[in-house]
Amino acid sequence: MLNESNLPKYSWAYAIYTASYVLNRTLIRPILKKTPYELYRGRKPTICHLRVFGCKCFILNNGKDNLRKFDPKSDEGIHIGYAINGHAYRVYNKRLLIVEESMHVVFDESGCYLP
Amino acid sequence: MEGLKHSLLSISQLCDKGYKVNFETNTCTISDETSGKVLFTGKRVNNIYLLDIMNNCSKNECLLSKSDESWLWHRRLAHIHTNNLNKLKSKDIVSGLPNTKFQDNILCDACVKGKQTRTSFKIKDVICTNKALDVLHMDLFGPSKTVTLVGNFYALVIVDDFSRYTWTLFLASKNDAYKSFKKLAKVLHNENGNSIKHIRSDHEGEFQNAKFDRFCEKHGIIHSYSTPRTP
Repeated sequence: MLNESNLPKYSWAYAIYTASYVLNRTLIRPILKKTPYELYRGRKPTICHLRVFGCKCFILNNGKDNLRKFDPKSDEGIHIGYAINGHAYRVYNKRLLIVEESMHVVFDESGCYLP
Repeated sequence: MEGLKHSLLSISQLCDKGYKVNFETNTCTISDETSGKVLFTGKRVNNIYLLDIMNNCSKNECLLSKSDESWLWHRRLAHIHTNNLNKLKSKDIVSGLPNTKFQDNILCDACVKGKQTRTSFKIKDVICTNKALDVLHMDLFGPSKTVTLVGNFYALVIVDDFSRYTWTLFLASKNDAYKSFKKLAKVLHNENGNSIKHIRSDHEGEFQNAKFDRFCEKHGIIHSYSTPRTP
């Protein structure tokens, strides 16, 4: 995952967290024929919100700064996983250089991120 | 039998093989049941019937030589496996090999000493637990060469045995393993309703210490360790 997205090595923790997040929802337990998520929580997991790790995304500047009329409404970022609670995404904001969790993200999964 | 200079012959095994054993006052005879041909005769000394195989049999040696050949070729070809030896013969890959069927499953002393491997761990086709959080397996890896942005070197991976649900916790040092496990245990207990019953880890210091033991004792968790040097 890290190699595909060309992310720096120090983001291995995000990669591992995302891998376990995805595998919990997609791995099929033999014999029982169910995903770990269903066995643990008793309901089917939804995976429609999953996105490519390390892809380019745009984070809405949701009232964080006072924007003027012609300022861009979103910041560019990189998708680096999922929030611990809820359906938000964990993204790296390239303008602010921070990792944040946000719901209001648009993804560009067409090409991979090149630094 | 230990401490005995002569070897004992099992009558019942002989009978099973289709031989007839006849005891008389001074002699005993072993004969083929179908043809009635006498193979060996023994004589009685005091209360024991003696059978002198060395002088008695010429046929037995002949039987031995057949198995000897496969044994000899096994040793000649650097203790080759008999399946391989049979393949060499049947596919006619080499010339000069006698055209006999080589005996399978020779138990060779040298082979066992030199080539014995561990028995494989069979895959279980049953699930031993029937509820989530019954058994948790945990292991810690690291220190990783590259630090994460927040300064974590280690990752603690916890897998539930029943569902294979995986939690990963990132730690700055090994000492944090106890603290973060304690936190997770509480969260899982509240989230799921079940409490953790059994945890299994390796013998490393972050798991095998007084703090961990006390925590397990307090919450009634059985802490077992995996056997060293096994997968």
